[in-house]
Amino acid sequence: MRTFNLHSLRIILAFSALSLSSCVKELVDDVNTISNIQGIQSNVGYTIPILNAEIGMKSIYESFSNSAFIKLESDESFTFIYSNKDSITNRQLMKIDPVGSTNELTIDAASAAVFNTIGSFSYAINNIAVVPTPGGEKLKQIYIKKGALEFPITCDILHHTQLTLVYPTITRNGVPLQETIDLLYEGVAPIVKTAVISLDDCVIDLTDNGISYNVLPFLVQLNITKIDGNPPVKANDKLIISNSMIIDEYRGINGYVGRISIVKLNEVKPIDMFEGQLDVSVKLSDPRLRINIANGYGTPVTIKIFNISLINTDGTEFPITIDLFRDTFSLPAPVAIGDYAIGDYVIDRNNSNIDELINNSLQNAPQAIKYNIELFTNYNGVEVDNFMFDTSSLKIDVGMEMPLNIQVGNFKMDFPNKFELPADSGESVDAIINDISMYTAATNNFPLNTKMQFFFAKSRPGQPIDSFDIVDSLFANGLTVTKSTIDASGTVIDAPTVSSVGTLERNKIKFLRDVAKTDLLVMRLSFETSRDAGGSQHYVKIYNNQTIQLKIGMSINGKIKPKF
Amino acid sequence: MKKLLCILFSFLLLKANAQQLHTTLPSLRGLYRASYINPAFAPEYKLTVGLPVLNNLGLRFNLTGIDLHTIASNMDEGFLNMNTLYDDMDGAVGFNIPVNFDLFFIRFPIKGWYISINNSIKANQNVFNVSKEFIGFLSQGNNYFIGKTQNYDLFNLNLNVYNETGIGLSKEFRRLSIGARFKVLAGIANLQTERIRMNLNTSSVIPFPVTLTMSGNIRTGGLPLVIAQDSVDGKPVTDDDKEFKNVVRKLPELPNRGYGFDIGIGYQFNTNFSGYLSVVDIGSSINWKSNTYNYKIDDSKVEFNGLTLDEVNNKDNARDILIDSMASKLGKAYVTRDNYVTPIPTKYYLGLDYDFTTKDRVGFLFQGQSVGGTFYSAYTGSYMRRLGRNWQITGNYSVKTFGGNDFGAGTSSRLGPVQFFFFCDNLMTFIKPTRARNLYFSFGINLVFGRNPKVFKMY
Repeated sequence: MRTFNLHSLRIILAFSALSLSSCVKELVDDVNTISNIQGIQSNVGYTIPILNAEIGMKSIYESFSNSAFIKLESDESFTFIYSNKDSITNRQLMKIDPVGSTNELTIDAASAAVFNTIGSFSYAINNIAVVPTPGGEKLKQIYIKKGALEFPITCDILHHTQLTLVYPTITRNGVPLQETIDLLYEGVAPIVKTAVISLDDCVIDLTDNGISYNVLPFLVQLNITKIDGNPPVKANDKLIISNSMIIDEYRGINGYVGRISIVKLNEVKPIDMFEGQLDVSVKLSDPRLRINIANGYGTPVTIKIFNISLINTDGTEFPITIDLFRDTFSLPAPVAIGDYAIGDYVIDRNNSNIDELINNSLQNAPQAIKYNIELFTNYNGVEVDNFMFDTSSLKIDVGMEMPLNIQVGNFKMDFPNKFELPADSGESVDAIINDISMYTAATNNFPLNTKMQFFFAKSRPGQPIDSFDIVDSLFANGLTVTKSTIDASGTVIDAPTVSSVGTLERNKIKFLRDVAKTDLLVMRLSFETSRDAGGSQHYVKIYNNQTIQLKIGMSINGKIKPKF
Repeated sequence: MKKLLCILFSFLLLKANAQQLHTTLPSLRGLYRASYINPAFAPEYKLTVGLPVLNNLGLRFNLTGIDLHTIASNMDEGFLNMNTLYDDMDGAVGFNIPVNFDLFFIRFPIKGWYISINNSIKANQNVFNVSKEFIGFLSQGNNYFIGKTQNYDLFNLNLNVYNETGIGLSKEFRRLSIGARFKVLAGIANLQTERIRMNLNTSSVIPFPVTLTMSGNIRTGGLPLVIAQDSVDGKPVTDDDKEFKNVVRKLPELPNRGYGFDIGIGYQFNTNFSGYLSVVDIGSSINWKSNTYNYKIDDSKVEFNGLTLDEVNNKDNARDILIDSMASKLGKAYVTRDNYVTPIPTKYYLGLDYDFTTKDRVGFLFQGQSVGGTFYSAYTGSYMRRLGRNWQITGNYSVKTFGGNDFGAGTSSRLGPVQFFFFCDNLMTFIKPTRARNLYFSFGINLVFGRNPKVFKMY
């Protein structure tokens, strides 16, 4: 029994020792393994949404330019309008030359004798001045903002002389203009003096009490007072007085102002919708040029078109030929001050070759419109009363209108954005990017076949972001989404959706980041009108409710390995 | 040193259970601490004095989630592979290191009744753990979870320190013994994350929109305000709020008070067969009123579906507005002063003992407690042998409903008035130490005087 127990005890002890040594070994191994730890490592992958956009034609365009005004038509279709607006205000269109006259008083012998006897003498000059109007203007009232009357006077009489000037038709606050000038003899002969009378805020009536125009009446009253001891007045002593009315700035003019060139417009308006697209083909249904005028001047206004041209991608000018008698548009004067007479003139396929030019002759997309026009008052010379005030304005809007009823081929739009491929490692944490995948899903509501591609590009130093060099693409052949099916009103009946994933492997990432040094990700959308069985394209209208729903998610997979 | 740091680091990745079960102590009836299991346990000695500090030396910790061996087995050429480690984790990882010792204990008889008085420091729920999902998100990114909703607490931090002063009474009748303890609880410091919750959903549909919902709530009591601000709930912040010494100065006033009861009975069915039942910490809770702050982040939800074209081009500052909007939705942390109550889990014990000789006893014990809405229980089979009048040894095996079945063993002996004891609930720890997740061993010295004749009459 004792032997058995001892034997059993030995077995138990042996087993225990074996187990214990196994346990100790595991303990030692585990602690050794852990104590040799250098850091941790983990395969990490992050997926984030990038783009979730519903992109309509308006937002596409406005994402890169605001040069065009996009008009929403009543049927919810779009018209792109490239226009130049000019507002011509507060201009002194009419130049009024100085109005002058010279009057001379010579003392005769009898008058001299009387003066020498009684010691005084009076004389009056009643005259008119005429406003010079080389253009045949017939001015009736001038509301002066800034002006003056100048009077150079020379007097041989060796006594005190007083002049009183009266302009009954020049009023300030309803009071006729009157000024007294004293010529004091102080031992120097002849007496020379220039008097200046301000005309600021005066109103001149040039109608001679309503019976004429351009006429300025005035009265000069002369009084001479004897100074005892001075030499007597002699016959042929003279007093010469000139007057010159200078109008620097007027507030307004009534009367016929004649033909005046209001403005010359010689301008170029870029059409950036197709900017830089060398191989795009575009046909626009019913393109037109619209000239809109709002005439606040108190005269009839006429627009004279000297030249309007379209410039294509090559820089070649194609003149728009307008039908006979259509190169000059006239607009009547507004009825009252503050009113506007509105005129709207359209140059389209009915009165010009614009349609033919854009859709055939240009051979590629128009890049700019160039025009040279001039605006005149009273272009036809009909003498009617005008009013022209410095508060009046004239607004002119010359616009190229392009309804989005189009046929396009290879119409591309680029959306460049700053994009930096993540770096591999930091100082304390080793981080390796294994791959980057871009998941793209697109639903096409446009009635245009659409192709999408992403490019990794390099920007050009010192140039805008839309100037870049493409290095590589994400997809091998792009992502093509066929056109949607729409009904006659433009409502989308069926919109196809496609999705794809493009993956950048590690080597490609390293090349793009470290060798090519790309810094831009460019999304390119290409549009093309579908063709029928015969290969012909037909016009399609683009409506406000038509969009591309574009969703992009990015997945980045890598390994992080921070060291202790 | 490096090895030590590695081990400590590994511990930080581990999670613990907040529950604390006793599998060996109930068999060592000669220890006064057994009366904390059941106040009706008959004292073996007339007078027992627990010595400060020496009454409970040892260590207790619980780990879950992973262990050292799991870490070692996921080492790859000197680097810890977080991907495979994540797969091997079996839940949130962290630790619980409870602390429990008596500052003073005395038990003595008066007219057939035994009266005990104790003053103890308890910190039974010192839990810190980080959810497995959060570790997974940090180590693997959201690719791993595409198409799923990750809904989890980021981490859980719980610290509950209090002082317990108890007075107990027990009495034996012919077959029946009864006992009860009334406890006054004085909260010292409390910190608990009620929730630091994150809900992250990454859709599997292009462009993989992400929805993040966050909310958070951390309560503290008896601790200084840690966020610098001028006022809380409209009341100006003073040094009493900010200065730790001012917070400590208030403790003698027992500003964070609570009460609790333990009750138990024992019954001798016949000479050999007996049973007992006890409920500990009935209604025990602490009402935190001093320096209570509630740090909150209200529910906030941020969705990101990708940029629109205007946001890409930052048209009219659209992208800046988006970022501001998302930032504002995430909400800001703020603080309120809210008094609150921390309950102390109630423990249940039901045991049956069979003395097949005067020196040998086998026993069965069922115990359980509810922590955080989960009921943890264990079944223990034990054997106890007395070696002479002053020495007893015991061994047991426990099956736990939450895992971690283990052997336990213990002994206590008396040499004159000095009682020595040692017990351990987790012997497997010593066999496979790097796979261990729970360890509880205790040793110490008490002073005992006299004997309870009713207990010792059989020996």
